[in-house]
Amino acid sequence: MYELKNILKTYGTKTVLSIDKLIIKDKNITAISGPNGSGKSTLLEILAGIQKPTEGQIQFKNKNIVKRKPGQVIIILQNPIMFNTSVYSNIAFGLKVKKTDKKTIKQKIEAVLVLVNLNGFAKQNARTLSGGEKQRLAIARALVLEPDIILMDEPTSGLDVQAKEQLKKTIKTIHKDKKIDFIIASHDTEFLFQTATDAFSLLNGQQAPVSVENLFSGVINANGNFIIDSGVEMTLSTFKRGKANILIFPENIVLSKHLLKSSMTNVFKGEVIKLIKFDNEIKVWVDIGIELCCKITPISLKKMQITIADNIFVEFKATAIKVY
Amino acid sequence: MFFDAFENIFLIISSGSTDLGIIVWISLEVTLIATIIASVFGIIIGFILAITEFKFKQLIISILNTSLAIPTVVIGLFLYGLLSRSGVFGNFSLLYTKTAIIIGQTVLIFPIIITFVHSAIKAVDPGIEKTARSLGAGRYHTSLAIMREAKFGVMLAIIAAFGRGISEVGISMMLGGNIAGYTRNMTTTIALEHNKGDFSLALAVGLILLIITFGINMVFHYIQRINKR
Repeated sequence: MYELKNILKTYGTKTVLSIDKLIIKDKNITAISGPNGSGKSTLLEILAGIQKPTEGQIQFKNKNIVKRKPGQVIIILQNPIMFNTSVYSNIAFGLKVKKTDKKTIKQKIEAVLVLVNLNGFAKQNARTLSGGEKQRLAIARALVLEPDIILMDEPTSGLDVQAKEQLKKTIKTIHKDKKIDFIIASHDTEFLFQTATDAFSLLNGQQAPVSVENLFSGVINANGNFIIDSGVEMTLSTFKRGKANILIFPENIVLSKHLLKSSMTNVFKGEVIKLIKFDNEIKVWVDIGIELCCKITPISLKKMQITIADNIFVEFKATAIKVY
Repeated sequence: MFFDAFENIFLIISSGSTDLGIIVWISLEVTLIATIIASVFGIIIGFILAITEFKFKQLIISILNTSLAIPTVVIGLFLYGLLSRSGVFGNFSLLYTKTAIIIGQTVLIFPIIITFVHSAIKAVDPGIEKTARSLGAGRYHTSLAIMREAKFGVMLAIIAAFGRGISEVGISMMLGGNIAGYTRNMTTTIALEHNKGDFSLALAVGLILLIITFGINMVFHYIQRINKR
């Protein structure tokens, strides 16, 4: 969907974004995690084409982002801004820009209001809606334009648990039924884990080692085993069946050079493909058919003498997997 | 004196005095035309000033703000120099015509429209522009969206300008000449009647002037209230 090369965004002398290369795949709900001030919002606005990078190239669907069609990429800002008019007129704005006839506008708005569960709100002033309702109206306003992708900046900001739950459901339903991709920037990791199918992280404007590691989508079969799209099968502890996302915390994964006799039900043999050293921990990526990120201490690394291309056992309990 | 004035208003209105009708009409006609001309250009300039950045922009804004305080007689005097027979535009024979008053009032209220519109546009949430652009709007639709958000500020600018125009006396007197039935408007009538010592008639016209401006403001607030619902 997106390919970014050598992106640099500066304000005066301050660099807010510096990304060498980034590919965002299509058919996903992609999460951008990172703390406040990490450059998430700037990146989203650049991806939306409403802000230009100081340097670099952005390809959207193999074309320069500036060549996108009106309404093809839509950004929903943090605390979405509503035009000071009715819910109906807010949704109609983009359609009027596209010179859609009145009858079609009416039909589309009626349908989308049902989809985002805002039917009955058409005549209400958009600025009088609650935070959660505004988020859903912003999605509706975007949806009627039939975009390829919707970008959302901190969508859970100021929402209560119930509103978050409804927003999550709305996003997933739209992604599934309308085949619209989402890129969601947030520091609400729980919301991201539960909603996203792919993720990357930003730290100080740079793409950081993924902090939303080991997030996979797949299907839980009748036996309660999770089968990742790539074919890797894992044992879970859940009653859930069907499509699901799982998260395996890297610190819950045990690495060993030899097969262990233990209660751990998920045992894989893989190859070490990447090692990154931090101050007090080492991240080890092991290819077991999927890339699995594991965390170990520098002492363990020294003791085990793990190097790139080593064959290694990866083991973790069924309960170490969080299912969403 | 006030009771006399009220009595005069009712007497003049009930008698269907065409003289007062003409005076009121000249005031409204001249100021309305001046307001329309100043609004068309003032709104565009105010908008451009608010959304663009260029060299000397702050200087221009400072000059416009200063020009708000220029006395009407100074504008009248300056334009008198230009429109009188020996002036640059003397050949057009505009002095002591309604056109001259319209020009004078346009010059007077032009900076009011620009500065009020500039402030109103500046007060619009920058997110409106981003949202509009994200929804596929080009420059035209984005500008309309911003303008729609600032509509009450813009309306206020027009009303303030109209109020300033209809209540000024210096320009009307110097450029219009206070010719009965031709350039005599409400403010020059008040000045004339005061000079003649007919305070009650001066006050009667003054009250009509107040009722007109008050009525316009009431309509504005009513529209504003309806839109907030």
